[in-house]
Amino acid sequence: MATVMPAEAAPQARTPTDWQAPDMQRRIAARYRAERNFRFLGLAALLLAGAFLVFLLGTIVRDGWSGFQRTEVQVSVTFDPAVLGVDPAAARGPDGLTILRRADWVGLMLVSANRLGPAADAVSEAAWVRLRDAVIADPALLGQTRTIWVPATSNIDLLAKGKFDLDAPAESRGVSDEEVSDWRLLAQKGLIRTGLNTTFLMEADSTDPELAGIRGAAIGSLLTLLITISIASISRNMPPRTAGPISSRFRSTIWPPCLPSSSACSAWRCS
Amino acid sequence: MTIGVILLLVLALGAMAWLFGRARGLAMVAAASTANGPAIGAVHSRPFYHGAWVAMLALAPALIVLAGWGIVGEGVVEDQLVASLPQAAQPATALDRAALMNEVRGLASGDLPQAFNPAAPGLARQYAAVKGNFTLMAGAVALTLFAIGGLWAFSRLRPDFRARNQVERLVRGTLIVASAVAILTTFGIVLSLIFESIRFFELVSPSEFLFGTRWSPQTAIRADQVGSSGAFGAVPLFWGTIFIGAIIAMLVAIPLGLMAAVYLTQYARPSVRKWLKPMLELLAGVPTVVYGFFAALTVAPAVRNFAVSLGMADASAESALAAGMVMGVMIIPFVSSMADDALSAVPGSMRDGSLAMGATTSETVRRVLLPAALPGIVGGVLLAVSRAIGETMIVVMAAGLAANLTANPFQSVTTVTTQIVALLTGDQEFDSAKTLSAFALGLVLFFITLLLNIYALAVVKRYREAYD
Repeated sequence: MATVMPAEAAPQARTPTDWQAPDMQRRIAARYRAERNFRFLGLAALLLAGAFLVFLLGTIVRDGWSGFQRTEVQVSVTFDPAVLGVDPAAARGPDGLTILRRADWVGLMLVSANRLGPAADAVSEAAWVRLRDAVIADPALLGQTRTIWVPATSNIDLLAKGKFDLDAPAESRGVSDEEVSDWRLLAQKGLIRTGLNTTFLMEADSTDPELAGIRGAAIGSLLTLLITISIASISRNMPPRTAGPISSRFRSTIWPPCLPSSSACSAWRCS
Repeated sequence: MTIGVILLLVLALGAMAWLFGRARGLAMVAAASTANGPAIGAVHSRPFYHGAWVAMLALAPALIVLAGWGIVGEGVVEDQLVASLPQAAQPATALDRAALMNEVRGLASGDLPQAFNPAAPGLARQYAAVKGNFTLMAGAVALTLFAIGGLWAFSRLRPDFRARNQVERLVRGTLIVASAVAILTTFGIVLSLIFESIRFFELVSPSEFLFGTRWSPQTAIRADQVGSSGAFGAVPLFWGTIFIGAIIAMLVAIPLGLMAAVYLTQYARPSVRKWLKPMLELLAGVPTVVYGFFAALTVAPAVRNFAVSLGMADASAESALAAGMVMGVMIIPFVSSMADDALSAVPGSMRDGSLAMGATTSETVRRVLLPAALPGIVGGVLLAVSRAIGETMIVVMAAGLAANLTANPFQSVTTVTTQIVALLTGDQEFDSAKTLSAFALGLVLFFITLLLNIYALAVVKRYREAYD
């Protein structure tokens, strides 16, 4: 009678593993420890990436939010037609708007700012625009005295927001002693306020920080976006979204461009 | 009459041509129908296709003529106006000519109160008339072609005319042309890179460019100028690019991205995953310019202070480490998303088998899933590398311009993309080696990323096929 299997292949009698033995228990504990460590590493990687995101956004918000605020200085303005070089009767006439626009607003602003005393320099270069706009909106102001809030210079603005280290020596803190004393004077008299920066949201760019806005840049971005969308939608059909938003974004930027028949692309489809 | 009015007119006539063709089709159907209702199959195509056939044949030649006129028209008007000047008053160079025509157009539209060129006011008076004449001529040609095309197409309409097949053929031709535009644009970009690079390599030998270790692209404008050596050895730039994009950034992105993907696919509960995955992908949604100033203003000073505390006196504020780390953070979601795809593509039976044998999850991941998914992960990492070395904004803001050949991450290095930006911004003559070197750099960078992408996609594809 032939043997069914060779002797060396026959199941050998072996002693069952004693899982309760101390070295086996140690081994299991070590494996479980490795498991916990690995799992912790994965979570740590994810949390670290999340911490980067929070740190990034936090830094941007911390440094950026005060850009939406601006500081204004209160000046008392007498809209004296003599200073402006305007005939009040003509200003109410048919050509009133042209006459008002040609008036000496810069001169009036100088006179009004000088009433602030030593802090006259705290007023922005383009503060006169506020005076002009006030009178154009209401020509009856001519000859009267009003208190008007005008934009402060960029350094006064930053002082009011506490962006300078005032304990540092004058030459390294980026702001002069005069400006600091101007700001203290204005703050003491309550002639200073910080509010929403409508200039930043509504105006175009400028070389003066306190007068700069994003309107021009926003319109430019919008137009670029419109052209991109219109060209992309007529010239190319987007590959189907099979995975998350990242993968599909990724797919459209890789080489070769995803033409439906391209064999290199088909690898991405089956995910 | 402007070209816009003519265009509207042609389009309106096109709509009418469609109506006529359709009416003819309807009439043919009516003629073929009997008292029992319309005869099926007596007219080959639906009335819509008869209309579309007539409108297309009428519109296509007219629109091509109008588009062509829109492109060359202004040049023809200029030629005519300049030729009308006496020989002595004609502009000598193309630049003079462009300046003269700008003044003429400005005067004609009323934007310019006065012109420098004495010939401009005379031409401005003629400008509107000449342009109007030419536009009318172009319009007349377009309308004639419209009539010829439309009438010929209309004369072809018979009950057995295969209008539907013809229209479908025309539509397919239009679609092929549209897709060819995208392909030709790509070829145009590559060809322009190649031609400008050839001009550069006529000035600088390719071996000096590819193997030279000194990069100092200032070229002399005057003969006696100081510091204009003009050395074009690109090795430091490519080293800087690889150092930042492929080494430092990947040291950050691969461990974090891979471990995040492992945690998300193997450990996280679905409810947790639903929150954590979009959060990770938010990192890829941050604009690169924001990463750029974050690297330049927040990370770089911190890295510099750290280097100083280590005892490095001359630590640079534009270190390779700052740019590379921030770029690595930006790349994390790409690596993690690719690794996620690769891990999910491993057949579930392999994972289940491993777990059933008593392996812990981490042992399964390390011994089974990662080896099986390795080609996919490697392909994803290579794609991430090719993205990182083409990345511009972060390195422009944070990496500096000094072409150092150094392995010290606290020193400043520069990258190919940074140098291209630096070479092409500002005023410079276009025929100098300095400007042209940007194209050579772009060409080499393009080939490197192309090869990386082709190789990575081939790896990923081969691996996908192994399990499908």
